[in-house]
Amino acid sequence: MDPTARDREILDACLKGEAGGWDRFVRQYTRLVYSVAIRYRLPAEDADDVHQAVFLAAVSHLKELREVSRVAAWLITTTHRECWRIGRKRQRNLSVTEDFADLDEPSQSTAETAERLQAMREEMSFLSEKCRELIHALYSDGAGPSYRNIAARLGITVGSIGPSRMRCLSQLTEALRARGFEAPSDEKHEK
Amino acid sequence: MTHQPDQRRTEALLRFVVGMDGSTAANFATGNEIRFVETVLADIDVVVREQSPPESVIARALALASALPRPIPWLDRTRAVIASLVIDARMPALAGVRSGAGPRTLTFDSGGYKIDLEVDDIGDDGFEVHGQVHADGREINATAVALVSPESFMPTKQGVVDSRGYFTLSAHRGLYEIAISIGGGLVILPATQFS
Repeated sequence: MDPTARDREILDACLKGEAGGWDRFVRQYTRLVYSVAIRYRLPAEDADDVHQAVFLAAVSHLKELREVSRVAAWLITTTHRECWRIGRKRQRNLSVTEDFADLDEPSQSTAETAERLQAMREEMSFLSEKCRELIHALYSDGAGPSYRNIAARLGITVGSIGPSRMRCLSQLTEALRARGFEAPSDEKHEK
Repeated sequence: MTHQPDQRRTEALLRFVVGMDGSTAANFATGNEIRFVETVLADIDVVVREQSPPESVIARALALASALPRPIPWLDRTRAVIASLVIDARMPALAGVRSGAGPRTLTFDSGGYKIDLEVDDIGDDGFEVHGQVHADGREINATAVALVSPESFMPTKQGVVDSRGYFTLSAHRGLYEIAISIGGGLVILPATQFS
């Protein structure tokens, strides 16, 4: 399903007062909101409060949110503003750096990176459980994956890891390509 | 064609990581495709390793479900009659009252019923509306009333209508419709700015 249509379906459920709709909305976007606050180097307690403030803003503006074309972009902008507001309120050392050159809007690179990573989260969540487990196992070990350990943990043969990886990454790549996923506009990859 | 080391690396990336066959990988070993695949792999790395919010933080956000709009079973707009505004006036202030104006009065007519409203400012950007339903001597049979947001069609406040047709509602100032369940039907007073 098209991401915008999926968001509208979730928000329609929220507007009808369905708690299941709100549950889906929070779980879909919780890491997006938190990651922006962490990117701005807010301490954990402030990031927690930003998270709550952003979702409070969302539940208070459901009808407006339903009409935007990109919910992720709305959440990123709202998180940016809340980070500034809470940071100033707590008298954190937030200077007007590149992050807050515009207090109302995040920088283009912040917004692009955050939207791109959210697309990745969503498409990874649609992979089969086996593909998700395999990708997590291959990428979560900073020292480099041990195929023998991965095979033992996932109950698969070492020889199947390579072909499975290719298949899963190919699915993921095509799904991202279909939704217009793009590399960053400059030569560096943002993290 | 002589393959440069970067191109060989890229073809290997495309063939062995995302499963492209050799000729496709060679054809797609362009700058854009390189950046696309490398971005995918870099972003996977970020997403897999990123810090999730604590479960307690997620739970707090989930608890905001209590703020979701709650539909009212009797508020079925498909069977509503929209009343017309007949009178909108400001009463003179009582002697000794410091504010410059008295309460506002409005009268609506739905064809079968007349509804009078008196709206008072109650401070802190709030208002209170006292209403009465008239039925030209017939039994009123009005049971429930709600302040409704004209944007979301969801109720902000609900109340009851007593046997004489009286009701009272209060809320933060804003634009509201008033929906009244009367005689098995629904009368809606069109969106009005209160305070």
